Amino acid sequence: MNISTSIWTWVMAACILAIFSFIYKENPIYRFAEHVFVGSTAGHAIGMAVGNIHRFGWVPLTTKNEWHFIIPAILGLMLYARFIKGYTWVSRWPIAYLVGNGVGLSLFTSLNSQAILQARATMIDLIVHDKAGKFLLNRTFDNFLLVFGVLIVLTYFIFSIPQNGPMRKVSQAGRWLMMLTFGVSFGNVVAGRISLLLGQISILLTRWLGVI
Amino acid sequence: MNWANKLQSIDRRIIYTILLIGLTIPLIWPIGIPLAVNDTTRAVYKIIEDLDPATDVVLLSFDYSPASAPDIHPSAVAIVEHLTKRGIKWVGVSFWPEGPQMSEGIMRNLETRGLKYGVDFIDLGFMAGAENAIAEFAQNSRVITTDVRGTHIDNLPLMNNITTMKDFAFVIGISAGDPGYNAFIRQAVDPMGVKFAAAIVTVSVPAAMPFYASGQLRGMLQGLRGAAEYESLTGVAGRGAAMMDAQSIGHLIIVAFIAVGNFAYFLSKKK
Amino acid sequence: MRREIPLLITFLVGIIFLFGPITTGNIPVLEMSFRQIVSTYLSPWTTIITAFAIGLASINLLRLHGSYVARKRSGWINSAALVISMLFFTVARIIRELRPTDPEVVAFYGRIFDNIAAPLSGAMFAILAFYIASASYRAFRARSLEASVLLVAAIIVMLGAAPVGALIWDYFPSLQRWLLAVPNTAGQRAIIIGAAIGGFATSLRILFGLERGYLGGD
Repeated sequence: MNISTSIWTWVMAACILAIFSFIYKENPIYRFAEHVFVGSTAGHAIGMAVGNIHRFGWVPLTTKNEWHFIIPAILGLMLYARFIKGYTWVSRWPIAYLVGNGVGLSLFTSLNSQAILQARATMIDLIVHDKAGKFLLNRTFDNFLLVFGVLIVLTYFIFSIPQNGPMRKVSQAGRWLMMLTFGVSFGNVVAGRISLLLGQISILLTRWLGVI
Repeated sequence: MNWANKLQSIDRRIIYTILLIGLTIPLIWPIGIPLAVNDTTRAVYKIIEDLDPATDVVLLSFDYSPASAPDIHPSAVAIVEHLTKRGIKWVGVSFWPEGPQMSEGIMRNLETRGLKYGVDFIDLGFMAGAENAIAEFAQNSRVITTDVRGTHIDNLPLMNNITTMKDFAFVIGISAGDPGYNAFIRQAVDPMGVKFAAAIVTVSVPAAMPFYASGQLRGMLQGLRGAAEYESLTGVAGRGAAMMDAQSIGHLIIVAFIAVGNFAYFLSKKK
Repeated sequence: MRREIPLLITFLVGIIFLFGPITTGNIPVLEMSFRQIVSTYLSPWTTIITAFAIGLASINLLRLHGSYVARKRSGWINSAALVISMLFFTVARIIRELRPTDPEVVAFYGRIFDNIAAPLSGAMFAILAFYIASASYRAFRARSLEASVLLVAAIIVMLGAAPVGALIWDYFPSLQRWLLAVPNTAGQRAIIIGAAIGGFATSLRILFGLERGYLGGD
């Protein structure tokens, strides 16, 4: 064991342990650390935002005479009108701008990348042979499942017509496939959370306690 | 059976302690369980292996924060180690506010090993605007005029032949959420044909698989495991491989909890 | 006009961004193409406005917790910690942004970020693993056949993804890879396609002013 003598490492360890203390029970130390977490994260974000305003707005405005940057500066400041009683409507303009931006940017691109190209990727050979012409059962099964899997799950989400008879059975099959999908997602969520915890334990053991 | 009910309502702090001990022990005393490599990881490795160090520049987008760093930062380190080993130059950028701090540690480490900032790698810093910023940077990669150290890009030889994102030989998004690989696919990959792969957090892997299957993602590092696999391919030991044993035990513990919990539940139902 | 002008802004900005990538040629009066308007004006403007928007939630926090401190409400010490840490990190980062070549400034900010902000953030999300463990034991029950399918898939993925799975049963890793590559891809792809079509419809409604929820109440 080689415990660190750096004050900053001890500060780091104290921060981690203060948050971890919550798992025993809620306590004032955790509350304090939680508030510092919120403040530090928000402070960093504001600082980065100010840096961006300086780099992408103030510098071109003042050094290259790109006066049009006054417009987004005014729109940006209008956002803060929501804190002034009676003038919250003023903040609608920049919000409308950002919403229009988002909608215009993603209208075609989402449809292209997420609907059209994904649908195209689903148009695969149902019967698969290798280069020598031999029938491949496992690949054929996979491709059938891929193609019809997409169709049956999409059927589950059709709400504009009543789901009766064969459509209901197909929709139920889609539901079963979705259970598999969500099970896979859940397994990955567990794996992801474990690795986050591992990271913090690893930091404590290496940098603070010097055990590994 | 009373004990079945008692088993179901065990104090949660006992559960937490079992998990904590179960994860700590293999970190201190590794077991050395062998690790197979996924095709998705191998695909990224192969692309970087085929790059030409004389002409190719890679773009790395650091789109994650300290909250998800344990799952994804080892992937960033592993990729940078591979690029360094092959002598391939890279440009860093970020569309998350915390991104530049994540890349700063990597750059500091490279500089202590004799690599030169400005020659071997640069970092263009953070650009606000989420998907719009990615779209803007994809269309015009000279929109960020200064790097994180205040140097104008016209004075950075690495950016000499870069006008759009298509001029980068390979783009890797290290992403923990939005904006991330999705935005790159929508704004750069499909409209412009950018060659793109992603290192993503484990949680996002299932949702990203359709994009790998369709070829929109050329490869994918799947969270911490992806980092460990990449380290085994490059032969450069790192944090990923070291944590895999503990990850294994963690998964076993969770599976055991699910099994015991359900066992107690079914027994109590039977009664 | 308090709603009409924003709706018009949404429409105009949306149309320009929409037509930017898909049209060529100049707009008659302006002698600029949609693409040029986007790249020269609108896109850079979005960077600035988004930067202003980042501060919005933080300013709200400052107002709220500032008032707690001023009124010495219960727990005001924590609120004071929030306000002080926010101001400290804001000022430190701004200085870091404005003096990027000063090694002491860079090193100082690196130290406070790596040893205060990063560990707090990391630990906050790390404790989710404990909640997952607790939920796995107490709440994840195979109450129905569908729930059982979900749990079995999750268990296969967990064991297959970890190296130890291959030691328990040779087929866990390949089963995990198959689950991810085939049924999961099919299900996720359908969800992605459905969401994209739904998003397209919603985007059109927003563009044409049929969807006005983002404007808030009067």
